[in-house]
Amino acid sequence: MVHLLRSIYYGLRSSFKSIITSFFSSFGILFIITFLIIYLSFRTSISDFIDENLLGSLEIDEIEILPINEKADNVYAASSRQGAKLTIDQVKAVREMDDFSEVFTLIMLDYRVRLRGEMFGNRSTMILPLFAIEPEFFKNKIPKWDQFYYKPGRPLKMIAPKFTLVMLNNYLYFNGLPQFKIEDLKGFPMEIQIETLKSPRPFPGAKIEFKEDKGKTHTDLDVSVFSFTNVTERIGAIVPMDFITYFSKRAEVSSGRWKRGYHYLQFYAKVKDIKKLPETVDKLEKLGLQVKSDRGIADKANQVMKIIDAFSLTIVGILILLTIVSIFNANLNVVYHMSHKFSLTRILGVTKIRIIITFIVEAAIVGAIYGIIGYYAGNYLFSYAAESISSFLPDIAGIEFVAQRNKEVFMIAMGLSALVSASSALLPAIFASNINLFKAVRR
Amino acid sequence: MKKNKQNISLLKVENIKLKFGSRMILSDVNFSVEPGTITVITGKSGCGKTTLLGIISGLLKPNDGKVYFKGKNILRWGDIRRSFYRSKSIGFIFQFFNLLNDYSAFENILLPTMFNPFARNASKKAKELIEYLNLKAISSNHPETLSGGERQRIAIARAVINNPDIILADEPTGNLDDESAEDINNLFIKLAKENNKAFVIVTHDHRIVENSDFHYHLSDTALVLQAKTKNRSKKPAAKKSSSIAKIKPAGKTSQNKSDSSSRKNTKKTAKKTSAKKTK
Repeated sequence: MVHLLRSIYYGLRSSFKSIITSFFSSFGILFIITFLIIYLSFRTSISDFIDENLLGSLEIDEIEILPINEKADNVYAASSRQGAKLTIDQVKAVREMDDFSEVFTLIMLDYRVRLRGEMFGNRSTMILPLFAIEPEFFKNKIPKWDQFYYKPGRPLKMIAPKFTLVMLNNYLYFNGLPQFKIEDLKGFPMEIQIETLKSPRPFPGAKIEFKEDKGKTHTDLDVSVFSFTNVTERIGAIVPMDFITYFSKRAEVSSGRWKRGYHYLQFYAKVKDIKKLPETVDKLEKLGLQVKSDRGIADKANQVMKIIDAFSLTIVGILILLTIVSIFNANLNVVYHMSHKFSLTRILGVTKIRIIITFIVEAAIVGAIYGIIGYYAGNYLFSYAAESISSFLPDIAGIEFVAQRNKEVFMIAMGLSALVSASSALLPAIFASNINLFKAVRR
Repeated sequence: MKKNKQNISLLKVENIKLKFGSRMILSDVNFSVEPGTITVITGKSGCGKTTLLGIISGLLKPNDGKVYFKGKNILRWGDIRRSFYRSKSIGFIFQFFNLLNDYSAFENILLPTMFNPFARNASKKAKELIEYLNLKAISSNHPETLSGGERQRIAIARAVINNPDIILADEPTGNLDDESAEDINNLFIKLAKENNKAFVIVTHDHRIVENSDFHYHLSDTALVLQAKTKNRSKKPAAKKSSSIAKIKPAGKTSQNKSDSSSRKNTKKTAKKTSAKKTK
């Protein structure tokens, strides 16, 4: 133990000078990591902005399939009961097409729904349609998507349109109140009242009130906000699909006459091969359907991002190359100046591999330290730049610049810098381990 | 079986050949080294004496030949085993001392124990060596503040701290005045006889040659045993209970007994080699 501690002490003492030299020579790593963090932060911010504001929520391989007479431009018309519906034949035909890897159906409840909520003592009620879609559609779109289903006896989960959050925050802002983030409103309690012709049979364990009023029945349910989304341009709330199908079936049976209780509005589909999209569109048009896709915008956005990526990565590449050359030179210098020491220690019994490992570990430690400094420096500079950029460029004030402060980026920064530093030291380390020993000690 | 073990030399060099490019440096070099002996190698500058030490220590690989240490060919070992062999079994003494100026004399003596995973009680051993070599007054000094003789004594202490079997010395008195060289020479004899260390010394110093057990001359790539008369007039008084004796590894006594027989073996091998060369 004493021997080991002494070895570590002398090892650190003998490495001290070379570590100091390495610190000066490895300064370039700081630039690489700082630049990389700034680049990643800008890229993510711009990419998020494009995703949210230009592309909606559609992926590049996702398309919307609508009835051809749908007035897609008029979101109010599209949300209303008078909006065009998909026929059962169209639904069957689309589901049978093998052009898609996944098909999701947006359905709408045919009953009148009132949403009630209370905030800061103000109670408000609005009539809005209830939509539903398969929960798998929200995979990678909202967190905990797989929990979006109906549980009798529990408040009905609801995904609200994102614009309601914007409207709410605008209201709060103008009244001098603090604004909400999505996370703050998760689980926010509300109530819905579904108006049916005749009361549906009670759900087991559900809180249902029956109120007879001019031959109609009101069904009241507790609702909690699950998330917000801009997945559909339609004004309305999204509830779990199993709730709508379940509720409609009960309403249909209890009303004593045939009525499905919901209708098909549109599809979201993932195409298997994006190159075959024109052929798929032709097939769909023959079925009396139209296709909406963000592909055009997405392609252009991707092209722009590719140019930005290529430019930034070239700069990072050049910086890495310069840093490697600089560290390599500095290490070579260390090897030359310390050749006497290396050869002496080799003669006294140090193995080649120990010299190589010592060199590389030293370099990796120095690199990792620069990686950590670079991570914080990059984030600080980015935050500073983000604050002042909107005053210089008011056109891009809508972009929300968010610094990349997370474990993954931290680990990448540290790992990359350690790797660059260690790889630059590899060759000098091999030189150091292969020094002509007698020549060096006879100098 | 026992006989065979007793006949095994501590170090045996067989048919070593070494070329640098087209230039032949060593050809058919043969000799052996026994515990407690001083073997001296002389020769012109650049004839390959130091290179031969490099081969013995496993730092250089010859083009052909074998180097046996206690019956095992070290040239077949990998770098890790050879490094361990250098650390455990070989001590080095250089003309220019090769002490590290960043460390004190005491730390320089301790240096080889850092690379020897089996080193135990290193500080205690270092203190004993400091006593033995009269270095107490300078043990905390850094090498640049010391005289040549003092530095060389520190280098000797460093060479023996791991209790090696063989000490290789490359012109150990080449950079010293007469008086210091004399001291060092006496120290070698003392270490060889009292501690049963084998010395292989590359030198031009006639005093060391005179006091050696075997004198080889490297000339025209060949190693030739020289006929010599042993002069041990300046033999130091043998101190039986020296502190360095404590560093002796266990099981050396039996080897000591076999010294005389193994020395005869060495002389026989050397004579054969020289006879071959004369032919």
